[in-house]
Amino acid sequence: MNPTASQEIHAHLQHNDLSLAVRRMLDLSLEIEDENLMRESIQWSKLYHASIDNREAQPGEPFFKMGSDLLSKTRQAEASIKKADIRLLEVNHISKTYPKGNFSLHTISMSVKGGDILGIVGENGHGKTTLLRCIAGQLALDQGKLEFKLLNRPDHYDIRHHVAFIPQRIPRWYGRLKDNLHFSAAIYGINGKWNELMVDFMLERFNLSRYQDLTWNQISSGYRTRFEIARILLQRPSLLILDEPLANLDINAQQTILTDFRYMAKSIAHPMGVLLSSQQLHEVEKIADSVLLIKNGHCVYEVVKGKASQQSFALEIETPIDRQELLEILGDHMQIQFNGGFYTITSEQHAVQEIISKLISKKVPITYFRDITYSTKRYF
Amino acid sequence: MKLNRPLCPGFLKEWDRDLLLNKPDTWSTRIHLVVYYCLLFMIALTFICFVVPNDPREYSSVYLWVIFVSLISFVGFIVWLIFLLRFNVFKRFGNQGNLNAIKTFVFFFLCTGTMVLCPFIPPIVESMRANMKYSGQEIASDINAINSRILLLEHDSIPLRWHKDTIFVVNDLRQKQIVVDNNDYPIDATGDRILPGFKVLDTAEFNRKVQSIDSLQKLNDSIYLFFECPNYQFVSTYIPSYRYDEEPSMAGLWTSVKLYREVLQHYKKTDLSKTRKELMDLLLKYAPEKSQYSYYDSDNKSYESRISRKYSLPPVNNRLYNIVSRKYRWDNHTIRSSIEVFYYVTLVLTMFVFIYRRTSLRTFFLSLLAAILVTIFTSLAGAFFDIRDLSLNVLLLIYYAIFCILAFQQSRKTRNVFSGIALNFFVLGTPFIPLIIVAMAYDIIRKIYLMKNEVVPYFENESRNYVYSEIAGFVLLLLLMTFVFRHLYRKWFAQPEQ
Repeated sequence: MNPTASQEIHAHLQHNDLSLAVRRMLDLSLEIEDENLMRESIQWSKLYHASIDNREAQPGEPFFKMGSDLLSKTRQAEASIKKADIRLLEVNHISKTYPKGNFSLHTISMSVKGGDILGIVGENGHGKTTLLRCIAGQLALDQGKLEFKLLNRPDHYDIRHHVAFIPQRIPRWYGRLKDNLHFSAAIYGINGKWNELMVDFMLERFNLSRYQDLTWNQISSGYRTRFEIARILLQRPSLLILDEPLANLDINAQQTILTDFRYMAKSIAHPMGVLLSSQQLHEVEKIADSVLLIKNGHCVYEVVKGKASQQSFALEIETPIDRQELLEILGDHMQIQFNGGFYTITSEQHAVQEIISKLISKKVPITYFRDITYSTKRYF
Repeated sequence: MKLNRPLCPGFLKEWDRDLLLNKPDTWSTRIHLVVYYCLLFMIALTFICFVVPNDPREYSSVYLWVIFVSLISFVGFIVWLIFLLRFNVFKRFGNQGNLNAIKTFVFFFLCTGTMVLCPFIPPIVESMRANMKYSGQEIASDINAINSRILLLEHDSIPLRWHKDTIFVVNDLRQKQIVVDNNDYPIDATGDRILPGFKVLDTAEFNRKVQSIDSLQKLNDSIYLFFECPNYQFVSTYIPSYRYDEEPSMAGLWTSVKLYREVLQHYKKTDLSKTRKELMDLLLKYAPEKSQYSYYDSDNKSYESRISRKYSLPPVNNRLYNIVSRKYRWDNHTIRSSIEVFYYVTLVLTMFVFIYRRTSLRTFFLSLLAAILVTIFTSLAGAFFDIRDLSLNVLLLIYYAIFCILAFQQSRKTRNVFSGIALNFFVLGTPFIPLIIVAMAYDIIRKIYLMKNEVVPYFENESRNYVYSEIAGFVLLLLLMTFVFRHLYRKWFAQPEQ
């Protein structure tokens, strides 16, 4: 049986994963939709960030006391959360050719449900952005059909209102960061005190409170991405499309954001379908339920977690020894490709563990290795 | 919300925050800030206009103020546009109520109107200052006193006999086959006068002239004597007398006839030196120093010209004109043009702001370019094919119909720039359609009269009907905004691109 969110938060606190515990608590309070609980969670988050700002090794006793109080409240409320199971989008045989240019996106079909994370990977210029923009209603389709299951006979405005899309190049905004968040919430019907609460919530959730009075020019591109995600999430979207959201983020922020997407998508009461494109294959594959590899406008490979099967095993390693030596060590039935400092070893007979054992037994110095048997990396 | 705006009171900050959290579409128009800051500016401007030196007798420099304030208003307008760029509910696909389009349009109209109103402040204040310093009664009595004293002083050198005309009245000039020249004297085919000393008028013209003649004597049913009093108004305001009807105090201004009856008819000798001194005092009141300007005199042998030179009257007349033109700047005869300037500038700017907020930047600027091209094409067509009046109005209606059809014929799949441009023109043309139709109707009626070889009559209600059509145009715009334009823009803007 999967642990509940409260149990996870308790575990995070026990193992000193305080940042994650705070973020999960904020998510849980939002899911419960209890105003007081949300306010307390925001306060708890502020306590945590204050301790970070003060460079304390660990937050003080009030933080942990408040955490346990909150946990006792959420445990009771958690039981009342009703699970929502929704279908969001059916993409049926869509294709797109630009009138001026020689690029075509060939027929693609897919389905997105609430809670699904769909990663779209591929090299630059092969159609990831085109696919996402088609789904977001920004580009006209040549063929095929998009069915938004939550909308009843929608017009284009309804679709653009319904789909939350974050483009690769975030559009510039003007004025203060916080005003923009208030405005975004208000135009989606979040008014009055609830607007204030939700904006405070998002500022804390994405660690933007310190930047709330700053403008576009005063914050880094990474924080602009965070702001954009916070702004979009204020709309409580059921379908979120992100084009290269990791491009401007540092490695820690990438991990944090991806983990957050996973938690938010898997929300029990408000599951969200997430489509994201990225060059960070491994990071995306780690959180995505399925991954599409787009090459020259074709969907060449689709990995669905738990349903993956391969004819051969593949391992990626980094080692100072040369290819000939490796072939001698590994013997027959192995193919070795050298690609930009990495070797990709494929074998139809030997599993990855066996290959690694062989390398270690021969004392081959390995500085990096990754099992890419089920990864789209094989097709790059 | 933290506001660092200067002179922003607490209530406005609260209001601003309340609008941001609850009414983002209203908040994004910035109406509360625009109206507040414009009111502050107007108060400051009114105060400045009241304290700067301004002599109502001198030539008005208000046009400089109008230019200066217009430039400030224009800068304010640009700043407002920049603020409007920041937040747009429509372009962010936010919640749109049924009345959103009309509400934002009305707010834009109010914002623009407040800014357009600012340049009217200096002339309004100037008029107020002139009214406070000189009442209509004072000016009328001074002018009467000046003219009376000149008549007393110049009694022996001015014409006292009234001009006489003998009028022969006929029922219809055409029936009698009488042709008259510009002075109503009957002439023959060579242009020679055929009844020396007689003027011939038909009954309609006779009745009209009777209204304005100084005196008349009936000799029989067909022959009348018209008497015209010589001009004794040496000093006047140059303002047409009908405009005095709006101002009862100015109605006391004496005409030449009244001056004749009051001063000359029962003339009594007076103390000339005393009268001259009184006259000089009155003239000095309006022209205290010698004029730096020279005045053109077209008829320097007439008694009026002689008297004008003798008493240096041109500067007095000019200064009286300066005062009175300030005082009556806003009367019923001139205010309509001011209202029209205000209304059309506000309306056109508002419509540009509205379409700027509802279309893509590219389509907006292409619409401006297309407007220039359409104007060039229309001008060329007008020059080559003599398109004006009725044909021009028909052409404008055809344009409107084409834009209307193109705006409705939006592609189902993609956003098309031509549909966007047509939609923008459809919106821009709407308030002028009733005006064009009324103008067309009058053109057609006039053409019918001309085709029948009949004299085109004066249409008493024409001016009023144009006003009604302007109001109807605005109402039509608001109605279409709610029921048509809102849907068309919503559909057009959200469509995917190719």
